[in-house]
Amino acid sequence: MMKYKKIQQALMVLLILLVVGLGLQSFLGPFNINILAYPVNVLSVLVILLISVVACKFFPNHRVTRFLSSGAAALSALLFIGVLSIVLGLIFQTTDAQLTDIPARLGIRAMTTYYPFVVSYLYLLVTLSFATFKRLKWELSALNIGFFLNHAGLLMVLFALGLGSVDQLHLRMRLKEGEVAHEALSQVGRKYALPFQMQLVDFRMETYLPKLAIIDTKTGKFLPEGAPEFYDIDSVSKSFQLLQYFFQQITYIDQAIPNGVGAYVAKPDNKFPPAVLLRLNDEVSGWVTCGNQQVPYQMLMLPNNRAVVMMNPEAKSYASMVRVEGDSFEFQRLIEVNKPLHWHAWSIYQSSFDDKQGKASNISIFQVIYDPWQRLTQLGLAMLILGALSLFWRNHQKN
Amino acid sequence: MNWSLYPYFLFPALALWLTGGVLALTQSKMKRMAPFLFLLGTGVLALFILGLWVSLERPPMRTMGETRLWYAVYISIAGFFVYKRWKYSWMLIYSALMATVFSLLIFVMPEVQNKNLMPALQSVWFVPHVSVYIISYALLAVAMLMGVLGLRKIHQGKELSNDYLQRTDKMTYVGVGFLMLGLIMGALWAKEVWASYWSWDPKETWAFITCVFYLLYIHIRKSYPLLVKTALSLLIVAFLCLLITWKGVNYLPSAKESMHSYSQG
Repeated sequence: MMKYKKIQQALMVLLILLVVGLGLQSFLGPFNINILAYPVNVLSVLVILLISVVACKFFPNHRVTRFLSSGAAALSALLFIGVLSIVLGLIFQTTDAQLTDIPARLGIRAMTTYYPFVVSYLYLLVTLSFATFKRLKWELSALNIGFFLNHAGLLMVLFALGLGSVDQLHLRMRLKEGEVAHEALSQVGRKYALPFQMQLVDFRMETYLPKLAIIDTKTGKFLPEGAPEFYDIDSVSKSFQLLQYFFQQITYIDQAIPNGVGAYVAKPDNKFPPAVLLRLNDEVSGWVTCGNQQVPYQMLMLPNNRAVVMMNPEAKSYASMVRVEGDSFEFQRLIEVNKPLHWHAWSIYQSSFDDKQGKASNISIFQVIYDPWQRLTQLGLAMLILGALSLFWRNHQKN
Repeated sequence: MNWSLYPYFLFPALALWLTGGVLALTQSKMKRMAPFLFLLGTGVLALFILGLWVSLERPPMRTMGETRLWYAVYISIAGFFVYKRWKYSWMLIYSALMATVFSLLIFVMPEVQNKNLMPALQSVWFVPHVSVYIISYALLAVAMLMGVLGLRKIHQGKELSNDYLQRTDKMTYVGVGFLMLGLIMGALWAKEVWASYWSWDPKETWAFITCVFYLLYIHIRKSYPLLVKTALSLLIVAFLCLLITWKGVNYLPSAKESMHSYSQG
C-alpha cells in the first residue's frame, strides 16, 4: 500500500502545480519566454542540475528526493504534459490577437505560452533530472546504460529545445545574383549583423514538365469542380485523355516564344515558359502555354465554355551557390532544400525564390538560423537513438 | 536500367517475399529457408534500385515511384530484423504484404513512376522515417490486441499469466523503440528542411501524445506491476492516439494549417 500512497501524493502535487499554473496565467497573462533569454536559461539549467545532483548525492533518502525520483512522480509528470498536449492537439493554435473566443481568452490557443503547460514542462525536466542522477550512483549495467541514454538524452533535448529556443534567431535574407549581404532581417523587420558576409553567386532551378487542366471559362474553376483532373505532359508526343476529351499532343517546347503568327518556336533561355501544341479534332487545335512575365498565357478554347490551360511548372529542385566570407575564412557552397549550410551555431536554408519569375529567377531567399544550443540537441537526439536501440537490446537479453 | 525492366525484378521479388512469409508461418522443415528467401526478395528489388541509381546518375529518390521502391526495401529489412531477433513468425508475412503493396502499386499505377515529389520530400530521412513507423504500427497494433484480450480475460475472472504480460511488454518495448526512432528521424528531417526540430505541428503534437501514453505504460509496468488493468487499458488509449497521429489528425480543427499535408493541386 505504501507504493500507492506515492501515487496519491503525486496526484496531489499535480493538482497543486495545475492550480499554480492557472493562477500565474490569470494574474500574469501568457508566459513571456523572453525572460528566459541567456543567461537566465543557462542559470536555470545549472540550478536544476545542481539541485538534483546535491539532493541525490547528499540527501538520497530525503522525502523530496525520493518522491521526485520515483516512478509515481514520473507518471504524474507524463500525465500532466500528456493531458495538456491533448488540448494542444485538439484546439487550433494561433497567435492571432483578433480571436477573442473562449479558448483564446483562456490562453489555450497559444499552448506553448500557457502557464500550466510551462509548469508541466518544468516539472517534467525536474523529475527527469532527479531520476537520471538518482540512478547514476548505481553500477553500470546494460540496463542502466539504456536508462541513462533515454533519460539524460531526453533531458538534454528538452533543455535545448525548451529553454534554449529563446536564444534562437530566425532571420531572412533576400539576395540577388552577385549581391553581398552582411546582415539579415527578423520577422518584424529588425536588422541583425552577421559574423560573416554572404554572396549569391548563382541561383539555379529545375522544374518538372507542366500539367494541363480543363477550366470552366465562366467561373475560372478547375474541372471536375472540387476534384480537378490534371495531366502531366510527357516529353514524348502522344495521345491522352483529360475528362471526356481525347487529345493528341503534337509538339512540346520547354522554352518557347510566340513567332507572331499564332505559333510558338523554341528559344533556349530560362526566361521563357513551356508551350504545347494540342489537337482535339479537325476543328479544335492550338497552342497552350502558362506564360510568364515575358510571354502572355494562352489557353485552348473548347466547346461549352471550357478551355485547356497549362499550370505553372512545379519546382523539382532549386539551389543557390553562395560564397561565405569572414575574417579568416572563405568558402563556396551549394545550398539546397533539405541540404542547408551549417557554420558553427549558424545554419542557412534555401527557403524560396522569386516565384513570379520561376526558373528565370535571379533572386534567392534564405532562412538564416542562429541556434547556440544546437550541439546539445544533437547530442541528446543521438543519445535517444541509442536509447531506443537499447529497448531492442534489453528485450533480447530478457529471453 | 529503366522502368520497362521493372516487372522482371518485381515479380521474382514478390514470389520470394510471399513464399518466405508463408513458410515462416508453417512448422515444416522448409521454415528455415523462410528468412533466406525473404531477404533474397529484398536483394532482387535492391538490385533494381541500384541499376536505376547508376543509369539515372542520381539517387532514385525524386519521384513517388522511386520512393515506394525504398519503402518496400526498408520495410522488408526492418521486418526481417524483427523476425530474426524476436521470432515473431507473423512479422515476415506482414512486411512481405506491406512491401508487396508498395512495390506492386508502382507497377499497377505506372504514372507514379514519374509523379513529382516536392523538394521538401526529397530527403534521405523521408523513407526511413515512414518505414520504421509502419513497422512500429504493426507491433503496437498487436500489443493493443494483447491488451484487449488480456482485459477480456480479467473481466471473465481469469488470471493473466506472468508470461502473457511479459510477452505484451516485449511487443510494446520493441514497438516503442521503432516509434521513437521514427519520431527522432522526423525531428532530424524537420531540422534539415524546416529549420527547426520541433514546431508543435498537429501531427507532431499527436506523435508526442502517443509517445507519452506508451511511456506511461512502460513506467506503470516498471513501478506498479500490479496495476495490470490500468496498464493494458493504456495500450488501447495509446493505440487510439497513434491512429489519430496517422490518419485522424487531418480531421481535427487543430490541423487547419498542418505542415504535414502534402496534397498538391
